Amino acid sequence: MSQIHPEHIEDYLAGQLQGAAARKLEMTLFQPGMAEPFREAMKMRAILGALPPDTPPSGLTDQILARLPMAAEPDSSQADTKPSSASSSIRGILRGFGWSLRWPGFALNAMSTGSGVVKASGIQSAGYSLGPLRDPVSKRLGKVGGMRRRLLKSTLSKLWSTIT
Amino acid sequence: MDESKKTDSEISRGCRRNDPRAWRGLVEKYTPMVYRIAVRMLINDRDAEDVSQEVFLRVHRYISGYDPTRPLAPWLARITYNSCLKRLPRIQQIARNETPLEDYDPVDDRQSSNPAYEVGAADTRRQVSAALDRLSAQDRALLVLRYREGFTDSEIAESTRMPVGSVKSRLHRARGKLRKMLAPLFKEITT
Repeated sequence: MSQIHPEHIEDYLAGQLQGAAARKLEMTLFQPGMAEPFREAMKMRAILGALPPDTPPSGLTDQILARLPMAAEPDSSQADTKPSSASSSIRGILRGFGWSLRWPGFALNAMSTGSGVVKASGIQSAGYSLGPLRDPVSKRLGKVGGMRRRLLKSTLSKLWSTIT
Repeated sequence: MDESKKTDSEISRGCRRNDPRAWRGLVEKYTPMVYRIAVRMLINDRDAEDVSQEVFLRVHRYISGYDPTRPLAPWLARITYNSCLKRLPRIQQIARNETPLEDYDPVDDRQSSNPAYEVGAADTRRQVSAALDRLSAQDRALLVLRYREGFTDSEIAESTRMPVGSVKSRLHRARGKLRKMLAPLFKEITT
């Protein structure tokens, strides 16, 4: 490489020449008349480095994030806030009643963790539970056969007439 | 850990899961680059802000198809470059219809909005900026990607969808034009 092409110097300064290619170019830089293109390339870098920094406005990042359709970031200040025990108990009772009225068969099962029982027509038919309730449809009805399903239906209607 | 300090792979995987922290990391890490390319291509702060927002909305739309093993910068630069090219005819039309070009001095606008502007280097910056603005938008993009963002020729080619040979020749021509426009400055500088 007796002649240095400006592109090779640019590539070298940009770190795109590696290994043997970089060493070969370094050797030619010491040849007479080779310093000028190298100096010109350095000047170009210095001049373009003198451009204003073009810093984005301070609020731009937040504006962009506000426009992105995504879930809110978890807020650590709210994560530690728990509802009061009284309100959670009330919610638990209401939840338990909601399930029980619709699925008394399930309520019988769930009452192992509950604390209240209502007796109606000699069977335990309604209750509330503060414990975790399992989904009656997927966990229970799948195992109930046709006969038992009809029995469940009649129990439900009896219970409903007793309550109302 | 600061999300913007994570690797591109970690960030893009998080973004694919729509993890808000990963998105914050991506936006914080790449907004400066996207904005720098856009403001140089469009020569207008407000349009550059609009394009920056568009770019990240596009990234959000297409992140699921993005290969997380690849670096994000060339991909984001490509979206920015294309968004700017799409916007340019509209901007040029508005400029022709509404703003007499001779009354518009983007260098002075930028100076007044940046109090940290160094007085000593102000003239040099103004000259370089004005010369750059006289090049085509594509040439400005190539120079910014090379000299500000430090992209290699192949990364510039990926960002602009130009063959590497075209990137090299266009960069060579753009430097030649710039050297001609800034000849007095080149003479002043001693290395």
